[in-house]
Amino acid sequence: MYGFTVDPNYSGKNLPGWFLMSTYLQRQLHCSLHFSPQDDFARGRNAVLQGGIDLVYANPFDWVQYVEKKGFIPVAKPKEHFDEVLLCSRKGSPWVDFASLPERIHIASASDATLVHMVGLFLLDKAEIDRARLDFTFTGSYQAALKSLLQGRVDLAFVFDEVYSSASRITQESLQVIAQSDDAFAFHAFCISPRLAQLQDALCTTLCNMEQSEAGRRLLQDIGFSGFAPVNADEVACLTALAEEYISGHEAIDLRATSTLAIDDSAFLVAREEPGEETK
Amino acid sequence: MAAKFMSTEWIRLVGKQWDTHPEIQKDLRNFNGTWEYYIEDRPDIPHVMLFCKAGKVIYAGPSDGRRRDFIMWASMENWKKILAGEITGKSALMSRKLKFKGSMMTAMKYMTPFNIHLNILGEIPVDFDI
Repeated sequence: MYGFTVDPNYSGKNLPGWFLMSTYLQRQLHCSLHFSPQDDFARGRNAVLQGGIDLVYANPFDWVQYVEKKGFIPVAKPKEHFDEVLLCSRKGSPWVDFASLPERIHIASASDATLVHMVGLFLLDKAEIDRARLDFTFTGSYQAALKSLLQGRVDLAFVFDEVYSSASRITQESLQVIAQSDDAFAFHAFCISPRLAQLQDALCTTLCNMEQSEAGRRLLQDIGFSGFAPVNADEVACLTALAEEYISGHEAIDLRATSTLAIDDSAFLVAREEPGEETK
Repeated sequence: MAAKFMSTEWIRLVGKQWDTHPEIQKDLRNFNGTWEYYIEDRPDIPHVMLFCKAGKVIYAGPSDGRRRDFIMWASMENWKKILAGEITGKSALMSRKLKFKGSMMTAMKYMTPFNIHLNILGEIPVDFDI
């Protein structure tokens, strides 16, 4: 018997579909899976890191940890779909764009250890919103972040695009989108523990071929995907570098991030050279 | 006449071409950094570098030993594809066709100017026969 869980964001919004997915995978892989949904990010991570899970559909920062700490292998990712973030306020609030934001900005975010949070910060950085103005409430799930915003407990929320797109029309119409990312570099992935390594190829084939059968297509629709594609080693290396850097807290070399350090021209050789001149 | 790829003349033309792109200067107005380029399969070719301060290139020339915030390298074949615009900056990084050492977060945060910067490299008439 192998433990199976999914990112709480997914099980939270479509639990019956994921139970059906568990059954489908058991039949296709001829192995026994025990599906155990988790309530929030912290519980989900602990369940995997404590060794009780062998198959997980995880968000990028979590699966990087599982690869690093437990030897998990990323196998397949959503086809032509990446994790993106919307920075939203409540419709009818005074916060309609970056310029209108208050001096202290209260933001709901699911967790600071998520890519959604990191990309949300990037959106604010790009708009030159000083991070010193930000106060966060961490809600434990993407849905709870959205709920905090809708209930008026915060000014803004970092909203995972899948939560936004799967929200009801009424919910979407209650939100003002101030900015959204279009980075297309991070993705959730199905990952297996070393105990399941012998099923890597079979799992990859099963997931990537789901759209070719009627039953597979129906199940994909149930859990909200168009299909899955293999994860390659270069993508893993790139996202691992990104997540490790974020988790380490070393975000370097932009002037605002280092603004407490005076940047003195004399520290550098300031030599604007034109073609034809000698190099200093 | 086209400049030899990865030569001092070439990187200086890159620095000069940077001036014609106000959008990258605006996007990088809060950015300060040095970066180096080299050709992975041509160890005989010296490395070159740029130093950007608040969006302006203030040094373009041979890598001169100062601290580098980023190092970018690729095979000659992949450099040709990157300069021809056949690969975007993001896919070059994600596929590791363009190898990268430095802050990946910074690269991702500044992906738009990163792509413009690769376009600038491709705007310089270049001779790959080196």
